[in-house]
Amino acid sequence: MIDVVVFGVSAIIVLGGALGVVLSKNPVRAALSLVASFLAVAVLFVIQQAHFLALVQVVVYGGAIVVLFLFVIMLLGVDKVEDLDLPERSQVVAGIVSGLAFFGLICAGLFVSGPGGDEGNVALTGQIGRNPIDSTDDINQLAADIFTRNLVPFMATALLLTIATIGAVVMVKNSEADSSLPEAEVN
Amino acid sequence: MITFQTVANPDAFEVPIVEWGALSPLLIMALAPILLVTVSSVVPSFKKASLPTVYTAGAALLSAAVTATLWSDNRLLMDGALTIDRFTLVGWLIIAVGVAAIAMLLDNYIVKQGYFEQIIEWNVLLMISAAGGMIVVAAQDLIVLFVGIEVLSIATYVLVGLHLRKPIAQEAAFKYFILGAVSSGVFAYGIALVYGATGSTYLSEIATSGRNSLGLNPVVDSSLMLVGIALMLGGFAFKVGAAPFHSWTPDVYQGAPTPITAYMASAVKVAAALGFARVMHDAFGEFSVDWQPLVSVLAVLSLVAGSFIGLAQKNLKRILAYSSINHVGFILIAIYALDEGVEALLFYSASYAFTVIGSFGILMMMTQTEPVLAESDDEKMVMIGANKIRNLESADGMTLDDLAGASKRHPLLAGLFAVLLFSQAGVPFTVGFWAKLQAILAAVSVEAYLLAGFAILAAVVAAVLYLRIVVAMYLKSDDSEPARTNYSKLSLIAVVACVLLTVGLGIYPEPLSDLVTNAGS
Amino acid sequence: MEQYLPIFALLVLAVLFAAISFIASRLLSPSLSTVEKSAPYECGIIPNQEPSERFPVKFYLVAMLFVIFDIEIIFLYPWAVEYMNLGAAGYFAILLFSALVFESFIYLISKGALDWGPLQLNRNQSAIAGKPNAFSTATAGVRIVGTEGRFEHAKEVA
Repeated sequence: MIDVVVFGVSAIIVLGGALGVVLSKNPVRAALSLVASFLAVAVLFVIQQAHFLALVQVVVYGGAIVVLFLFVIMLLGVDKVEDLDLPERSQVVAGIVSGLAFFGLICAGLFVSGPGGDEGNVALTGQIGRNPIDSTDDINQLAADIFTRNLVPFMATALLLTIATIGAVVMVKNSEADSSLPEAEVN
Repeated sequence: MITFQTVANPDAFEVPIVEWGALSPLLIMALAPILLVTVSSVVPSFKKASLPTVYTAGAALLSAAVTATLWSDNRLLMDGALTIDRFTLVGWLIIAVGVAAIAMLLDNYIVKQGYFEQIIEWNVLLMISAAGGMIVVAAQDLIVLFVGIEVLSIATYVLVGLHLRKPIAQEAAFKYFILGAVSSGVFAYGIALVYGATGSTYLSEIATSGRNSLGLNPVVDSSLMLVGIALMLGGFAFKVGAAPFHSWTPDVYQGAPTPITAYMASAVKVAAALGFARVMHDAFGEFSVDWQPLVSVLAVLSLVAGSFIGLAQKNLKRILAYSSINHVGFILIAIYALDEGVEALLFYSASYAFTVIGSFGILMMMTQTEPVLAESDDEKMVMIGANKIRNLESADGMTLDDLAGASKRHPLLAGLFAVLLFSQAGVPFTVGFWAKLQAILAAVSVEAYLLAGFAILAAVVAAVLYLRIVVAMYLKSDDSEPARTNYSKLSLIAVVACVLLTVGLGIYPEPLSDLVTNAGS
Repeated sequence: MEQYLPIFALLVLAVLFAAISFIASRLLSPSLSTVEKSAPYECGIIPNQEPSERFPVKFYLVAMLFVIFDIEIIFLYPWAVEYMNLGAAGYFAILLFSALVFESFIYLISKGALDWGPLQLNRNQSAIAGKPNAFSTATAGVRIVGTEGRFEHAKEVA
């Protein structure tokens, strides 16, 4: 029972936060709505016994990623609505139509998918002969997975992080060097 | 002597055995940039003249040489995450040799454009990106494939934007990044749905998933699987630049630094195409009836869009971008033909890669060495040092009009360029002819006559595309003098090697076709 | 889920505290607003130009680096929990991973991406001093005056 209540409340917060991101006129408010949405998703993970994922959701997404978003908003100086180029009506319509079409496609995939457990729908009841809930803790399973069969993507992630560092530094340092010219002379 | 485990641990995980030997080409490509960035950070004097270039080209060639020693290997590595077979090895060879050539082109470009400060970063990102490409080619698991694609493309987004003083390059990088991120998202969604339908991310397990005791596959009816395949197809089509997912290609190719354009058109595209083929063949082979029509539509649209829209272009890099979309059409035909097309796919990828590297390389050398013209007040004039020169690279690039008289100003380059363009057009006695022939024969062998017909039509129209460039170089009257330019030796070596391969394999294609035979998995 | 009860309690307390503070200040404080009171304060001088609205790009770099090392820690966590069972192979795997990530740290330091304030100023000036240009003489940071020092001239020379 408590699960249902917690799920209901956090689902409302997830959707409300997501709507806030899309509908909010002020970019900073949109970013903060995103935090609400992320935190509620973390609660959803907790209900599913995925404690580690909840932690990642809070630390990486709710913390670092949104901080990054806010920095970019400040960096561009678009923290007021009059600085924004709001999309045209036709763009909004096109966005809604393609979003709905995509939603329909996914729903079709989910509800018409082939037989799964107990000959139900595979997308809703899971794969035949597979038990998704394991008794061991999710973090132990994750460790077992990362360091055995997923060793290659794990190492490739290190390459990704290197690219991110080098890319960020080489772009930022150079724009700094350009702007270090005496500004009064340029203008 | 330190012992890590004194007591035998019953709960210890079974870690995969690392086959260092078989992995070494990939390891060289992945660890060489790490070493380069570390050494050059600690020892600043490493950033001297062409030293980083020589290092990069050397590492890439070493990787290629080690790949060649593995030639008869055929097995799974790292618990089935990667696979070594002829398909992988041909892909690794193309990427490694391509990186060596690109590094040689980059050497002079970086200096001329005034980015010597960043020479380490250019080379490091190039090599890491290539390592991602090598992972994509060898991936046997969708997660590995996805991470590989991300390494490949994220490094490329940065490389495109590294020409920091050129607004059009920044715009291109941004466009490429936004669209690439969306396509990665679509691709990841596809992976998730396929995993949901089959319960596995391994290609071989996806292929045999859900078989019941009678050997029937209940997943065949699963629309979840079909939506997943469609989304992955869309993601791949974006990465290889197939129409109608091609609209980023001309803008990004035009904006990117020319050697990076060469890299995107060769190694990135080949890696994505080979990963595409492997997933479609190995994982979704049983669904070929479902995805083959989609691939054939992509192929026809790419052939038509590449050749016809290309005719309307003036800018040389845009023309070559549309020509690369046209080439993707042929590659997709080879993918369509399943097992019949594997050899054609590898042959086309290999020959296409060095032809296109050579073409963009020559374009780069011509653009950089264009001399001062009499009327010197257009926006393409910039100050470099004490001289006012016509730097087409930092403007929008060379157009067909700028090529007038190029045969007199750059007799050598114009000649080499013409050969490469003829090869791209599929003229006999060049390697492009054999490549196109094989792709068309593959279509015929699976009785896709309509597709073969479109390919021939598109090849004819595309020939006009290339002839326009040759005509602009040779027939437009211009009283230019030969340019007193000394071309960069490294760039010239790379370009001449590409041309020699084009002509040599055009006359005697057996070595390459021997290389790619028995590549079917 | 019981172990999350303290977090939930903290959340409720935080919301209550914020709400009560707002309401209390609204109710209890006298509001005697004048034009002078609501004007922005800048050392007593009436501000004559808008404050710059943009953040320097440097802050973004720090945020980016924070994300990168954050992600590395996320990967360290499962290893630390299971390290007994992962054994030597897991140890070497995480060692290689850390080496790959920390190599970018060396790069950062050598690029001076983490230098702030006087350090960076120093670095920039020594770089300028090494390369004589129109903005400074070869030996000191003194600007050249006269036509030579004008920006148009510098652009032509550069």
